[in-house]
Amino acid sequence: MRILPTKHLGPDRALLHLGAEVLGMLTEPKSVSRLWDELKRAQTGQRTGVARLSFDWFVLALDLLFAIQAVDDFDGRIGRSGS
Amino acid sequence: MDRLSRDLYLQTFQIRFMRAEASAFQDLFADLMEARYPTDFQRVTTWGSAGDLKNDGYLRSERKVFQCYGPQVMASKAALEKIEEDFSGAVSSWHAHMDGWVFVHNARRGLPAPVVETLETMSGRDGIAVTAWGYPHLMSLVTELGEDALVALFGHVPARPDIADSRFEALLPVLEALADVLPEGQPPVEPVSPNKLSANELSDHVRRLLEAGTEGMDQVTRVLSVWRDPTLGDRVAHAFHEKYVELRGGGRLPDEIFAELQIYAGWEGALPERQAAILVVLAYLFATCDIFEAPSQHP
Repeated sequence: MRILPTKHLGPDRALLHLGAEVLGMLTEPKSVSRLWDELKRAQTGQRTGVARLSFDWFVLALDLLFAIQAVDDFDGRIGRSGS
Repeated sequence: MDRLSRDLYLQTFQIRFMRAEASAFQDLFADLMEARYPTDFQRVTTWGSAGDLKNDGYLRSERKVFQCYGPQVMASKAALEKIEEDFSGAVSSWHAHMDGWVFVHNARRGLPAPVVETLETMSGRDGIAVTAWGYPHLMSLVTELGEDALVALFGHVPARPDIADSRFEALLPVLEALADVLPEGQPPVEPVSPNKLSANELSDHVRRLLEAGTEGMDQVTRVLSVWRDPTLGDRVAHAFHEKYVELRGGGRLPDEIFAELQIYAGWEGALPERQAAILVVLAYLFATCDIFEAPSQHP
């Protein structure tokens, strides 16, 4: 798992950054599939050329957010903790 | 032929030399001599029960008989026995045609002292000059070959545009084939010293190859920044770092380590475009301090 950037993993693809990006999208509780669609669109908009993010990596970012209790489950949707 | 192509041929020969043992070493020597002395060198092969009469090749103009010895490990006792037996046999069969006898060997780090002493003692016996040819001498023969001979001997090598313009489609398969498991922990991030090339005692042609590889490095960074698996870079770096540590622990020379890393990356038998991609990846890993040593901070 790569939470922080490394020599070969840029800051924009580290799980910490990705987690922050997902958190920013949680203006309201959302389903996993909706979050995934929004993230893919956002990622493609930020880069040129081939710009893809694997679903596995997105899930790891969600795992990180759950692990630090930044998000919670709300009837099957993911939302910010305390919301 | 440009400098880069020549350096690539030198490196191709270095890899072939490292890998060749026994009859493969003899074949490499004969191939090289035929290319260098096409009308003068005669390859000798065994002939039924007569064998090769202790002759692995004959250079007519200098009346030199060659004897190849390319064991996996050069042991003094075995080498001395071979020298005595083969020299005596050559004198017996070829004395009327022989002014020189050459012991051709694959000992990259030099011959054992007793072998050197024996060869010096033997020289002049029966009026025959005895010498030894090793890696430096064979490498010098490679430098004397023209482009056509090099292509015939070793095939085509990558051109500079293949390296500088390494394509996404060429780099990605190389990276994916080599990626290892994700290492634990957070790898250190160190600045690259400008003295790293000189600090690692690589020979000039290997240094130039690494410098040429850096021309395509930006493409590696791009591949790693957009590929859907963000862990690819770390996994490739880990695989090569582990391999480098293993090779360094085996006491190999720096040039040999670089050649082994090329082989590990799939260099042998690869088309020029893939070889160019491998060179670029190795240059990238060298620059990011995943292989070879950072210069010492202390004098």
